[in-house]
Amino acid sequence: MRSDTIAPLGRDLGWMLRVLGGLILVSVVVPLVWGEYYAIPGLVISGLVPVAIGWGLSTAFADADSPDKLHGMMIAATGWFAIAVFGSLPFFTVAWIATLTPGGLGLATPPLTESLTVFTNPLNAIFESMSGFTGTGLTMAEDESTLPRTLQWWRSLIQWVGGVGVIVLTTAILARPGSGSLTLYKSEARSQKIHPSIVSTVQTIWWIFLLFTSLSILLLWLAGLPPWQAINHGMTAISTGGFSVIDGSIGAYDSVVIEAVLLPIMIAGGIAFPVHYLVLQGDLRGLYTDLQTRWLAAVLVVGSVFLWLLVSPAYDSVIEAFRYGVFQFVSALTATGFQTATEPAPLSLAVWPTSALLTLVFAMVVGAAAGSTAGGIKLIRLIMLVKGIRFRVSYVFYPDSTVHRLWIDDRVLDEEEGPREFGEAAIIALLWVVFLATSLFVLLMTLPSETYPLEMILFEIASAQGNIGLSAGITGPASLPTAGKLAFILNMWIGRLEIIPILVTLRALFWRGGIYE
Amino acid sequence: MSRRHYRSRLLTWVLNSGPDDPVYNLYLMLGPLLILFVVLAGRNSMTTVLVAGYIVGFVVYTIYNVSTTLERPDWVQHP
Repeated sequence: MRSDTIAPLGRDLGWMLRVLGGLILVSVVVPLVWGEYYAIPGLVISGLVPVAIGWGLSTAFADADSPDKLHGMMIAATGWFAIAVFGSLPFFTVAWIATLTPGGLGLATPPLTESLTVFTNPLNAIFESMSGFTGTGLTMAEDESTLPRTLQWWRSLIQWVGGVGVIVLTTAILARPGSGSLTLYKSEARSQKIHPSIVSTVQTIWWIFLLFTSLSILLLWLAGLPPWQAINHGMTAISTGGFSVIDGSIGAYDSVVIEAVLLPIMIAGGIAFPVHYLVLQGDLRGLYTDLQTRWLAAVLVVGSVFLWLLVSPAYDSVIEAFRYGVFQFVSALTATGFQTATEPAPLSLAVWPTSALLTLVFAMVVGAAAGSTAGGIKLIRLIMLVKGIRFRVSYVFYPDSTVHRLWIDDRVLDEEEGPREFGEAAIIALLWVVFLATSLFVLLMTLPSETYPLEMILFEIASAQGNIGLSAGITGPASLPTAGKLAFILNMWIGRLEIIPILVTLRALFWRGGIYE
Repeated sequence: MSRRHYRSRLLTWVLNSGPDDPVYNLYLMLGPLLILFVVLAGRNSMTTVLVAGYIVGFVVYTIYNVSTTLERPDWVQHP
């Protein structure tokens, strides 16, 4: 690989690792507060490793040029993968400390539950970390409530940070002006700006995110959650992550109030930050003049009602069906992944009608608004595809001399821009389907035959790739084979970055790395 | 970096990064403090009233803010 590519890559990767190490080291407060002293050496080691590597890289390449488009995509792709790998160290080290030293270096260690010991396998630890940072929420822990508080916190923190984006956090901290920051910002599947300056934009995003996080935590506490659970669920709800600190996700509470409180929090997480900014400025019109927000509202209403009708025959009452149907649709579309259709609820997702599961698959593939914390291909691309197809079909009904324009919200796209943007949306959608199909093939080959129906496997893959986290029961340390875990890690990674940066990086590695030369 | 300098940077960030509204700035700073207070003091009538007041106040102020801005749409800085 050429040195002019390595230098910006090394420097920015270094800074991302330093930020990650800082997050791990700051988290030492948690074991101190909860008396989990055995976890402190694990966290310190886990934090110092990325800090040391990151310091070495950022120092060695301190004079690197500002990243261009190629560098930006490579930094995003390799950076997110590195963050997931190094972010798995707390799981790995804490699990091994608890396993190897039952005495806990003279400090009391937690009971060796299966949920903890699974993280002695590095693949499980990386899976959990990738699931956390990408805001997916699929987990290798059988019972999250038995995990040490330190790991519960680390899971919530990485989802919270990952919801906004690791690069957005690094950019906000570094406050490095110029086009390089904008390039990186766009590479992390973001495009909308709040201010002309990208540094100001990311700082405003964090400002709004912090305010909404406090509100979410306090709302959940007011709804009856204990403080620790309110803090963790507040963080994973507003970031549309979906990790829980109790077994059985939100369904375990069996509380209509808590579910009702979570609905607006999840929806807020699915709305783009520039729209939140407008509303906080007093412009409520921002909510209904923004095309994506209008579509989000429409898809939420239509989809929830449709799902309610589909699951109604399976439930004892229509009220019960409404409760579970609406919550699950909102959770799927906003990419949160909180689950109420699970034990002790009357019906789990695994026994929902196939049509209901496929409706959720649609929601998980589409996702919510671009510029929010949600996953999926994003509503703006669905809008572009729908309007683009209508544009192409209507095209032939007019004479050749007609000037054709494609309207997207308040933007008018001419005959050059329209097909280009439609093409970009179509490419992402096509690649999305290709990777879904690839993982479907892998799982069909590796899962025990006739254990899971096709729709359930498709559901689980769509959940991983859309960074949702709903599970029909396939994901687990024992139930998901190694090839499936690797496929899901890839799905979560490409889903978070919307595929293209990873393909660009792979091409650069093969081509510029000289494999073909 | 001195603590004094750090504090001023934090305050500057809060004041400069939000929607330029002192009430929301106050809300941003009070939120974490209120969470800490709830954690330390536990659930009782005082903390419940405080938290409910924080949330209701936010909603009411947002509605008030919207209603006053509708009369002066030029105030809004569009992204």
